[in-house]
Amino acid sequence: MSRLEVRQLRKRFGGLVAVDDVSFSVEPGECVGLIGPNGAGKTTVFSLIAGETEPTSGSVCLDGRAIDRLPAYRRGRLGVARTYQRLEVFPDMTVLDHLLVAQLAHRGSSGIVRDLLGRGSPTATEVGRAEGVLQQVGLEAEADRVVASLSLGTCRLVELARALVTSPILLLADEPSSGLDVEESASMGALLGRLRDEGLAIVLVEHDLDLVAQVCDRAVVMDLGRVIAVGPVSDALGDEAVRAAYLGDAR
Amino acid sequence: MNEALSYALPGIPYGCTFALVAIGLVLSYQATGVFNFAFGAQAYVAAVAYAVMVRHGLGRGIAGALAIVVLSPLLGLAIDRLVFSRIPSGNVAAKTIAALGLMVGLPAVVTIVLGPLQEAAPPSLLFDVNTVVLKVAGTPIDGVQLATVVITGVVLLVLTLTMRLSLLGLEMRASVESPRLLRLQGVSSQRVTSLAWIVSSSLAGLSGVLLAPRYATVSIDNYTVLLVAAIAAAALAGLESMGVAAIASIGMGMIMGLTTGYAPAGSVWSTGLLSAIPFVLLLGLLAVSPRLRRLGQSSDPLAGVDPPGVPVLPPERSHVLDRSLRVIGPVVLLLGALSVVTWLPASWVFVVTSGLGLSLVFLSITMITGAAGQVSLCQATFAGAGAFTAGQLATSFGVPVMVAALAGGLVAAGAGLLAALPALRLRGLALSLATLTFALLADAIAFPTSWIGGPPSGLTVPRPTLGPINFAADSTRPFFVLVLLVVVVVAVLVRRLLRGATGRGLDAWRQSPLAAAGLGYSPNKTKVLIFALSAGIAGLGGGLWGSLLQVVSPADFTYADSLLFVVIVVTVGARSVAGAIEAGVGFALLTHLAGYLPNRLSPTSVVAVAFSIGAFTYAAHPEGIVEQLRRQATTAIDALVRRAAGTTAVAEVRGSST
Repeated sequence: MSRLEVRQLRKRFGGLVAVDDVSFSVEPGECVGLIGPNGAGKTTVFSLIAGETEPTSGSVCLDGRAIDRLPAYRRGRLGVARTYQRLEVFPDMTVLDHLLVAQLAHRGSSGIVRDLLGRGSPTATEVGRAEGVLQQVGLEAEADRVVASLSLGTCRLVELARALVTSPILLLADEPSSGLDVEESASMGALLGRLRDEGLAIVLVEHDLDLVAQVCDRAVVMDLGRVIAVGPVSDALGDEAVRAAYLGDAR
Repeated sequence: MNEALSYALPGIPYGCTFALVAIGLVLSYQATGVFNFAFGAQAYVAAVAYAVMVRHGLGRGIAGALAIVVLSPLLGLAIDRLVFSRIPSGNVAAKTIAALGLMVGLPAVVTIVLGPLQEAAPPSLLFDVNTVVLKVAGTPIDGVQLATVVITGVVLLVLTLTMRLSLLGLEMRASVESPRLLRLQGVSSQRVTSLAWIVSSSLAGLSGVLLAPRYATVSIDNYTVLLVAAIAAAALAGLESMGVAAIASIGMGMIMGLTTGYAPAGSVWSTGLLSAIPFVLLLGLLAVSPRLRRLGQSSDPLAGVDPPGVPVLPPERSHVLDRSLRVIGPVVLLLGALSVVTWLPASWVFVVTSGLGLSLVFLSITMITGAAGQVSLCQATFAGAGAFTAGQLATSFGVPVMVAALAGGLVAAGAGLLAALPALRLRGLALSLATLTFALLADAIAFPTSWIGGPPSGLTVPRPTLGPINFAADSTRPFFVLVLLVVVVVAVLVRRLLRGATGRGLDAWRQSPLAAAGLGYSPNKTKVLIFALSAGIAGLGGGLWGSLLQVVSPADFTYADSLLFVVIVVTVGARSVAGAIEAGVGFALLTHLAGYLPNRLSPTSVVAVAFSIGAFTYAAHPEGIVEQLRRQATTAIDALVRRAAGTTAVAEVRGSST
């Protein structure tokens, strides 16, 4: 049973078919690159998996369970975590707070009663776990800084740390390297590789094909909403149709 | 059919009166990006100025020109430069709060300048109000009505053409979408926005002067009624099309004409329903139209690249200050409470107690506006629901008043649930409008009903008796202790909510709903619970406050009170529990102190102006003035500590070298 199985996913916005008959699967401990030129529908696929948009048709299964009718927050609690192409951080919060709020959200119930009884604050275990993840992504020095004052690259790490702190089973990483310099990008790649080796299933949307080649086992190439190639990264990138879509038709 | 026509036709000029205001709302939203709650207040200022000038013997033409072409543009320019140009384009909450501040503050300034007496209606600028100019299908049309219809048409035509066809119109719309992009194109967005404010303010002035003769006196209340009807029409037009707004206004005018014609005359339902029509329409629209739900959300593609504001002050407080406050604070509070219980004169005890009661209502604003970042404009309504329930249960059914006050809290929580249903789907400006509508509906229909709001003479809410303690004793001291206890308990609970998972979750949701949902955070249940809880707290506060006053009436809990409350809490500090209590007690004390000012200055207006000026600082200091002062003190104290430490360090170095 695959960790994530996307079957014949289709999303229509008015007259535009943004995602058309997309199918692929991801196993635990596997990283799949979702690549393609801008406007190919990659981020829409992410939104459909994460539950931010409803598919027109098709299905999304997590560990064999259909999740495509669940609201985004339920999928989040089931272990689907994502980062965003356009940053979605909480600007007024500190880095550590991002990780604490993520764990509080994962407790499940809205917790109002627990709060009223005075037991709502993060526990020592939760704080410890947050600090552990910050160390893992190399943000421990920034823990108490307010996110609005951080650079774009650091904010991407904050998003990643926030996604990881809830121990997800599927990570959707949307262009994690954009805005990073070469060195930061390499360490991002190393981090994603480690996570994959620890058994996390990852879908990576990325324009930096070196990063894709470094981390991903397989690639799904999209263009104009459709999957035009699937397979091992080197094969997919060598495919004629892929080169045409990325570099323009040579003819 | 003829009968229907004869009812509907007079609705057309009536509709035109708020069409003019609705056009103004759409224009200012299109051209400045601000949903201008203060439009009615601006109209009122121009109308008063016109009336005063005419009373002093100036010709109607000159007075009208001065009011519309000189005073109103200057007012618009001042509002832009002093208030809105300082607020970042994406900060909808700050814009809404600043507009509310103006709505509360401008009429208060007029009262301070001219005194509490209202101006009598001035003569009409163009035609006479008492002359029947023509008859349409047997319906007489007077001069003011004709002028209104004609001017509405002309204004609509000119403005639509300007906004659609001229370069200036394009620049105005662009400056709302993204001032940064406009600047990158080499256009001064500041100049364009100022111009937009000048134009829309002149339009406000025009409608103010034009409509003034319709009423017996020039009063802000009339303009507020016009404003809310116009809000409904403008919202119908999605704040996009001035033409649709005008047509919607006229349509509503006709519906109101029909309702007056057919409803049984004299009942609360006929008068209440009539004024409620626009609100019902608005509420329904907000619930069904996805476009309206997105009202006021920033679409600036460059909003994300807005550089973070230079942190003027560290958000942290000094540990020295915190520690000393932790010691000094309770001591001061204890001394204060002891003073109230022992030696303070009875009148002051009453003031402090009423401040505490208010602070309960304010705590409900802390929950919604401070924690969830949403501006609710019906918290006074919830307080009213609590007070009236407490009064009715205690007087008509003999329920002990403390139990009745708790029941009042429950009823208010129920009303909160009702209000939360539309709120589930709304946020930002749309939510503010929905809650305002809820408040106006309560003002128009629910509270005037005698089995809710009590008889016209007022509803009695007795003081409680608890065994041997009679809280109705002539001094308020025992009652003060009771209210203090309730406030402490509620404050502790709210503080736990804000510091716990709920508060942090709401904070996350306020800053990025998408990411919050992705983390597994479901806002809906929390939003409903927060709305209900905060309404319940407001209701409990209302009940206690009513019990302090001993007689309450609908006039104590109007929409205008809700507006003022939000402005006050936001000014003092909506992010913390302490802020709400400081706001409640501070407001009560300031109002009482202002009573010592010469009557000529109309003390309540002075207080209102002070707080509305405070509301303008919300964009720069969302944490509120008191917290802001604490942070300022922090930097000062830290500098002192550092200097002290620095000097010892230097001394040590010197000591070691010798």
